[in-house]
Amino acid sequence: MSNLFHLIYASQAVHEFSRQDIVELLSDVKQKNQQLDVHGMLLYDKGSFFHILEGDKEIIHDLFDQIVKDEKYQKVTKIIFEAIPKMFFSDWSMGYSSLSRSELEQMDGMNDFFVGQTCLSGIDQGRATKLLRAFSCGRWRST
Amino acid sequence: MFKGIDFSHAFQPIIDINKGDIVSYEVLLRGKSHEAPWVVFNKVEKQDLPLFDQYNREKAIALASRLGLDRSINLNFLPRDILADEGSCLIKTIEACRRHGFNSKQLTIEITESEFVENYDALSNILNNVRRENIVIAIDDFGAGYAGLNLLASIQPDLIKVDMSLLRHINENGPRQAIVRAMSRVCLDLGIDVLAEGVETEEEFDWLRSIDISLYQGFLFAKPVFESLPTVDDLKFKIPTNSFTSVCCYGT
Repeated sequence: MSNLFHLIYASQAVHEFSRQDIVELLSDVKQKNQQLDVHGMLLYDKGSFFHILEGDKEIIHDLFDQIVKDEKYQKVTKIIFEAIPKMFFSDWSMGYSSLSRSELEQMDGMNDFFVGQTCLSGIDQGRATKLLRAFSCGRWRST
Repeated sequence: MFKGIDFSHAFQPIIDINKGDIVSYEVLLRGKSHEAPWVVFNKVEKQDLPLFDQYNREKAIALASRLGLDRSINLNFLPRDILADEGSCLIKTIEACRRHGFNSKQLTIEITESEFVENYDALSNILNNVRRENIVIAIDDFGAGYAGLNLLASIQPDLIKVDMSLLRHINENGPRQAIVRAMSRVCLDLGIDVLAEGVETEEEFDWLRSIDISLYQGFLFAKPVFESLPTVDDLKFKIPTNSFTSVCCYGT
């Protein structure tokens, strides 16, 4: 893929996502992103989403258009959309702050961002990791 | 075509206090007898300046290679250098780095907005294209002259170098503290590193460290050194060993 970009945005859930909602979201998005060869990470913490998408420029652009139109989300705020030299994430995964370590282990596609961050090991200290750090420090949330 | 102009370079270290090490060197133009850059530039015909700038950069890379550089190298570019011929001088600089055995990740380009940029979109497009090459993009002298918020809104660099005029005596200057603290927060939000340049006193350094700035360049640590790469042992001010490495700087 020659035209690699990443798009990083923050958004709010219109209604707080239940655990079941999160499970369904994980399953839908993981499958879709696998088909599109989109990598990255989605985080959810108390109504706030933070999403890094990596992949072909046009595919990422179209995905974001769909997200903006999706009525489950509000205050969708694009933070950055820029070219990247390579995919930094090996696949697409999700971090959910309400899960314990043992619950995480039972859910394929969930990462340990909120309980250990081994999911970030091996990823360059580039823009994506710096922004993830900002989110974990409470930035890009409306509450 | 510039054979008659005798010049060389000095190297000033950039320090990351969280790593306790020198991470890069900014290359600065000097006359062969250590004269200031303007003495050299005065010998160049005005219309030849863009060509000379590129010749200067490639010569600097060759010197850094001969000196055994194993960190990064910071080279200066004017926006007009980047805009000319759709960024060809950036590509030539990246190629020169590779020819001398450096990888492009070791190259930081410092954009100095010393003149008004009319076409931010074109600049942004060219820079976005070279991001694929894995170079580091920095805005130099941020907060001085034209280098300001418009540039930051148009191109999100990897690094901003806060101009020394904003940092002078910052430890006792409320308005400067408020501005630099706000800039620091903006950069945290956008995934941009902050470098304090021209730091001259321990008091300035202590204040900047208190807001978690980790990258420094200035006379406090080292002046530019002619045709030499100073090491950590050469620094005048030893990197504090208790530098904190907290990740959460400002809360919500």
